Amino acid sequence: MEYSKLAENDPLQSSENESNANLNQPFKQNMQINTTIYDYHSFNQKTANQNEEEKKSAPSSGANKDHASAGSAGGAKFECNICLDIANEPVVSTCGHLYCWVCIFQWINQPKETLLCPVCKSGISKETLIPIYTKGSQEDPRTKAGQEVPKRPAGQRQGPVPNQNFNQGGGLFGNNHSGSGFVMGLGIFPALFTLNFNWDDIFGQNNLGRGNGANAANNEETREQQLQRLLLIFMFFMFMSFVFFGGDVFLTF
Amino acid sequence: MVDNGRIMKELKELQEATKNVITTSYQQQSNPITLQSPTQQVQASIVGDNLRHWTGTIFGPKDTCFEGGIFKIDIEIPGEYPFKPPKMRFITKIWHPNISSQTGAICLDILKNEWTPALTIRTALISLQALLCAPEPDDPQDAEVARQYKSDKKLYEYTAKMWTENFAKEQTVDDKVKKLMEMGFPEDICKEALERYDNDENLALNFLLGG
Repeated sequence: MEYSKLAENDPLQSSENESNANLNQPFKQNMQINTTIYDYHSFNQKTANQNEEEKKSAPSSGANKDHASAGSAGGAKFECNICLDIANEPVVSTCGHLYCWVCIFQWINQPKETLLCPVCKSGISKETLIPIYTKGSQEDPRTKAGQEVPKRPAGQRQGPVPNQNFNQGGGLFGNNHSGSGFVMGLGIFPALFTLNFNWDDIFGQNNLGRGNGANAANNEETREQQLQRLLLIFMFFMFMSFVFFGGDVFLTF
Repeated sequence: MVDNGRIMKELKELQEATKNVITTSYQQQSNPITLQSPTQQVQASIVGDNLRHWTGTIFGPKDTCFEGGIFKIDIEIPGEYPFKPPKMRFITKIWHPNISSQTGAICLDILKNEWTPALTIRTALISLQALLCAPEPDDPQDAEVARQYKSDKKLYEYTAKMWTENFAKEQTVDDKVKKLMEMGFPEDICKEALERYDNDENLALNFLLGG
């Protein structure tokens, strides 16, 4: 509810078309959206208690009404599927359903033949539950109330994973994802052979897709193609310089 | 002790939903009292002060033998709720293979071992409504009804309709008087008999026949 409200108010959203014309704008916009999401999260936590008051004071838009009937008062979407309250010490099953740790622990401990997710009946187990660590999360008051509930399962941590998109020491081409062009020098007189490549000039049409989050994967592909084309151009120049200057060129490398 | 909080929440949600439906049906100029709206409308409220004893109401689904009927359901919420299913039983007599015609006991998997805490009283009542639409004679609660359903469906439908008519419809006093008059008793005597027996149709009829 809050997010949609914020999104509506986001002035950059409305000027999306204009922003595509400006190369820097999309990056700015991305950042803007990120901060919006962040705001939403902290907002949601901070005001879990105040939400009810807000609901009363807020003008009852259509979306608001839907929420009021779908979930009960409070944190809108982050409710435990068992106690219907905002999840305390939240855990998520591998099938993606959110519970309080205390609630799902009680369900798992029921005398039953099979352990199933209460929502989708996919198999669950204590070991595969994933904890959700929120900022400034607090202990469930019920664990203090004398119920024998063990600690919730810990998150599974992995070692660092190498980023395949990160091209370390990109050499001549660099890893010039952020800039819009680069300079390439060749031979004895670099100044003479300097070529100023500009993405915008050569691959102007690609501009539309850039920075437009949905096309990110697509972008990656076209960038690869561009690099291949550049390599071809480069090799062509190498060949030409070899023809004109003989082997001398390579001595200077 | 399991949370009363959840029960309170469910109750509040149901009450809000009921309120909404009533207002919308007013807006649509349809009949707000019978609530025969096309939506899957169910209601529930607590009995007295006991948060663990509810009465549910479901409306007979359209195009079934139960159409037009209003069925009351007794709901008892166990201490382990929501980890154990609520105990439900039809108060209103109903002719259905999966519901006992004598006790109102219900044979529905989600009220037994298929219950999950993600279900609520509301969803359980909606499931009951669906059960009225789709009887399951191979897993019967009432063997006699199930046998009739399988061997003579026409008779089953007739019986179910009659039961709905007799037990699941709220009749005004005038309706009852009319009914008795159709049997050949004079109007004033019918009224008197009904008055005497607190508008109980059967007792009044007995009285008329006997005296």
